Amino acid sequence: MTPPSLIFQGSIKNEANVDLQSVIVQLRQQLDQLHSYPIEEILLFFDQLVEQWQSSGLAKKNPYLKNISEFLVKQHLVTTLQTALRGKVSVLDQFEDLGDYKMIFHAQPRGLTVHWLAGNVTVLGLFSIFSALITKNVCLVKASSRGHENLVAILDTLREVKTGQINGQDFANAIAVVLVDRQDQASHQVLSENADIRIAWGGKEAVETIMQLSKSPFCEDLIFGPKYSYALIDNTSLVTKQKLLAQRLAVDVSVFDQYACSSPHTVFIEEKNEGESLAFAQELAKQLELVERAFLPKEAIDSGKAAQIISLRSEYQITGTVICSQDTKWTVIHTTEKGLADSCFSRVIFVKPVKNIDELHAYNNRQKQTLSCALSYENKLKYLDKLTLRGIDRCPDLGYATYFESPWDGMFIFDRLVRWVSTYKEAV
Amino acid sequence: MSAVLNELLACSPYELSQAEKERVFMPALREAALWHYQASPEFKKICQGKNFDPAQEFEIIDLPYIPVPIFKKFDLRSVPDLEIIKTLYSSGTSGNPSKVFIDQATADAQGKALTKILTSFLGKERRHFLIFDSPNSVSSRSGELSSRGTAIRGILTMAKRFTFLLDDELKLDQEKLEKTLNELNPEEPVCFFGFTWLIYNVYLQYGKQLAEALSKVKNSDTVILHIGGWKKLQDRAVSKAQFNQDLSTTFALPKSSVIDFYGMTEQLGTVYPDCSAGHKHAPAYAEIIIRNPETLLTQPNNQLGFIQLVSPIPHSYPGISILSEDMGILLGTDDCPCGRKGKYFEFKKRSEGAEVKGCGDALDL
Repeated sequence: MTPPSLIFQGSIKNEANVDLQSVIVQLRQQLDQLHSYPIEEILLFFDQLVEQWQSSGLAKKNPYLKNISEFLVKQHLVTTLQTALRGKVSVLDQFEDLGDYKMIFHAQPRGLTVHWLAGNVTVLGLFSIFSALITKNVCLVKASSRGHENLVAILDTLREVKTGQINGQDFANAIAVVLVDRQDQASHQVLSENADIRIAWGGKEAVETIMQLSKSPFCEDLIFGPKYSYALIDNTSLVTKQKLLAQRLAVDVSVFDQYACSSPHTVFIEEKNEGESLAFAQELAKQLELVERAFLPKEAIDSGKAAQIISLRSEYQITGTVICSQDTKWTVIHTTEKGLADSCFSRVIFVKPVKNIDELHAYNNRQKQTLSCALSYENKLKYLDKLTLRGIDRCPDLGYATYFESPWDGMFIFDRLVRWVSTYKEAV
Repeated sequence: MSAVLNELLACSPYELSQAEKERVFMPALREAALWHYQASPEFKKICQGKNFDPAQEFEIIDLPYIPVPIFKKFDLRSVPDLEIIKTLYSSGTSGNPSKVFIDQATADAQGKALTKILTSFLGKERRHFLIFDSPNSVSSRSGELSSRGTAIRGILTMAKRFTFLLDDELKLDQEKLEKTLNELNPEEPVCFFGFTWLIYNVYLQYGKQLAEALSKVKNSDTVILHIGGWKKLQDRAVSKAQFNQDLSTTFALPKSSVIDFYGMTEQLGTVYPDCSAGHKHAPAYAEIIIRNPETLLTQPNNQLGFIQLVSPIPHSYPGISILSEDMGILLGTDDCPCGRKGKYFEFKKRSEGAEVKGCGDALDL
């Protein structure tokens, strides 16, 4: 078992056998510094960080930064924070009147946020890290052994930005990234016991393992995953804009190669005339090919995944219709099987006709996350209330399935990262 | 058996050059493809899905393949149920086993191919087979046989006589081993046979006793044939080289006498033993194609890819072109130092993937 190593703290490191307790002490020392930053200045800082990514060419090299850039742009971030923090961003700096007749409120940071990142989409972890910094928390990040180089390279760019009051180095000092062996129960325990918030990105096994670690009674848990996502297209949308919808779904399927929890694996087509869903599958296949060639080239896959794709294709050549690339890049499977298809990942999308959209109600529970949809406004009002009763946390338009937004997984994340403090307006 | 298949099976397994082989192999394959296209709805759909029409002239690389897991999910038959004489089950390492339905014509053709291939390695003289397995492994239940039973039964057709060396709990029956070895005619060639992992288990438990007992086997023509893959041994971190070394020491035989043979329940009969150069050869009755896992195109020599096995022998099920989940490399054609003609290859490993278990790793749906 390899002892924990430190790969980022203030800058990129490569320190084996790191003492986690001392890293935690150093991180906590940054809390006062972060607390002293006005939120306006923090918003300006992240706005400039995005500019820096663009001017340095980093955004171009890493298309996945597009979403996080849009999330961090000041105009968008202000609105997101306001919505999450009950209308006033300045509540992060001081006590504010939020409309209560008696009390005023202040959102204090919770303290040490500990993030366990998954290997599927490294960049998703940046959302929880930056959200924690914006709310003036410090971050201890357990990175995945896969893709951590990219993560620390992006975090290192914090040091390149300075505003009038914030030196990016201070933000970098508020983050430590460590690699901890999966079997190293003792180190995971140290992370957990010291956390004021535990943030877990990952599959069932990883999340359950983290949840079983002992923690402070005052520690808050934010769980991202394990989730399944799918898509829905109503007949009105289908007949009026099939090509556009196929384009958008192709993007949703291709971003992150479907490894994000918000990536769709099945699309239900409200079919009024036989053949409509198959025609959509054919159009989707064209668009997947275009997207792959034009701007989202497929990542390399291992032989195990290739074998799974090949087998699935043959299975559905027998029971359905398969339209696929000559290689293993993308696969569209049209089938009339009921229910949600098992996720294969790696750009394998199931297209299924559905007669009545209400049928989908039975598929939803807390494990379902994103229902990306192409529904008329009337249909949104008609169906989405019932469809989201037992599960489904977001219903973005098709093409935006993998866009990180607030709320996520049913939570206003910024709200969960702060501790609400109240006092009376006037002495009683 | 059709005339073209008969003609193919009449050929010596390794004497035809690749060009000569294709002249007899392709007519049999084309006939088989057409038969299964007409007789197996599943095969027909797979062909149609790939716009493949076996009535048109085709090259071997164009023939659609059936991935091995499909044999676990579907009952693939090209003849009526009544004609099935036995059902074989593969040793699927996880989940359901493959089911393979055999009729008399297929069994005959497989037996013929197997005999010819093994004769090339073991010689014409029949041997006493000492089997590292229990007699129970070959008992059939209602016409159904496990993969171990199937492989052992297949090989026994080559035996002059045979002795099972393990008891029902798969422990070495030391008394029986002693007795059998004592009664051996020193001139008589012997073949030890068994599943790779089982032989190695016995070696680990009884290595010393085995070495002592086996010192009585004086015939230098003795061979150890083992089958069944390396997965279980890779879990124990035992390489093929280590396995060969350990067994050749224990059995006091040259390493070239430890022969691994590769084969699949889904294409029984055509097996691929290691030659003296350590290579596996495609016999006249089968062909090997190596496919790039990402592009699915055929790989040039020495490039790793999925092993596709093509043979016109299966008649009762559409297993004429199967894509395994094994990875191998093609090494050459017609020029193996052992003198056998045709393509030769090396099995490398099972396909593998570091499964991503991120936030998109859904639970039961």
